[in-house]
Amino acid sequence: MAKALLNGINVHYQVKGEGPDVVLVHGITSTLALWYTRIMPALIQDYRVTMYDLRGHGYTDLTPSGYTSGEMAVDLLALMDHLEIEQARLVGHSFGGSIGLHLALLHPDRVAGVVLSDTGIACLRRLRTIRDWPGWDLYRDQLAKYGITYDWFVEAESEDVATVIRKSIEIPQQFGPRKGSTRATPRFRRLIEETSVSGDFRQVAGLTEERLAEITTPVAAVYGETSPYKEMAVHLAGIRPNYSCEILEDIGHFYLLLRPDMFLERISGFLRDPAAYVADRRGSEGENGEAVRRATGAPPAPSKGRS
Amino acid sequence: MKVVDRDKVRNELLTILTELREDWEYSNEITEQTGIFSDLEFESIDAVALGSAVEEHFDQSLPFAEFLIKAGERQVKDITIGDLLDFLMANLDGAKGRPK
Repeated sequence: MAKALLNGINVHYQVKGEGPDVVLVHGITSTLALWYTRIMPALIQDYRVTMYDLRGHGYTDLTPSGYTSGEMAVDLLALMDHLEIEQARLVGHSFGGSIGLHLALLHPDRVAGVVLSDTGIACLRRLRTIRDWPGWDLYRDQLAKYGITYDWFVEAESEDVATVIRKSIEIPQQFGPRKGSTRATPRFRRLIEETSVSGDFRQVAGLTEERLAEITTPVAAVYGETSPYKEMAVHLAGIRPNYSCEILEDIGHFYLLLRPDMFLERISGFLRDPAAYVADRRGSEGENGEAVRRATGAPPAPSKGRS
Repeated sequence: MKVVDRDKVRNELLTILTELREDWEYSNEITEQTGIFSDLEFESIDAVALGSAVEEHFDQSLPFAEFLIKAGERQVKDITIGDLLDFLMANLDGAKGRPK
């Protein structure tokens, strides 16, 4: 198992394939396993792909603090230095996208492009649409079993997000080989109980709306229509240059797990040539919100049940 | 070409497993029926790390991602030690029964 001592912690990573560099960045409470079975094997046909476990996740060392997007971007930069990656295309799922944006802000010369896969951005928190999340209807009974209702969620989350996470991990896994089993593993509990991650990931940490607008690195956003973060993707189209966005219909935050082939298809043009891809999309679809294109991404899931 | 047999690979696999999990709490006997997720309480990342550890141990690249995908497609409840051994015997250089 490959590990590198970076910023005082051992970081677990894997590198496979040959070609331009792509670095895959998972989100909070996930691991590099997110990419392992579907995304990585496809991308290594054309790219040298690096994936790693974030600080405190998977087989990377856990520290009491250091989990803001800015701090995690410093970790990513150290890994790129270690692997002698001069410039990379970054693909970030959820919080991983914030890390990618933060690195593009701090070191634009090291980032050729950033894919945001349903990234919730801390400074745009006001745009979350939690109430509209279809899961409240789809999973109401199941969530209630674990004491989670919309009203409870909104009140508790604003006060103590760690409590919300503790409660939510009691809900069985929805995807993957451990579907149906608990998410409350010892590793997960250590992350929540022994670190500042649950407060850190919501910190703006310098990635303000004004700074987001200053990032000139090409960005391709791919968001799920039923994700609470969809409006952030639409908003970014209004404030960022070099940006394209697709909204995948009838699918939510974890579309990457449900429809990996569709995700790969959506990002393939961008990864080939990020700047040209974004310029082409802008040219054909106009400025701002017009750059948002809907894509059919309906899974065989009962997401039509939304009222 | 070196030849390896199932018993030898099983023993080496069990050594790799115990080295992988620092917080090992499983005290029952591990058999070919033992499930890595349900019995050994693996998370997905442990399965990925096991794949890397096996590749390093045998100094050979293995189609481990493909193996996990196929297990998912078969909708098996778990991956057992026996499944892992079958995979290794089919893919390790010099293993008995490896397809030409």
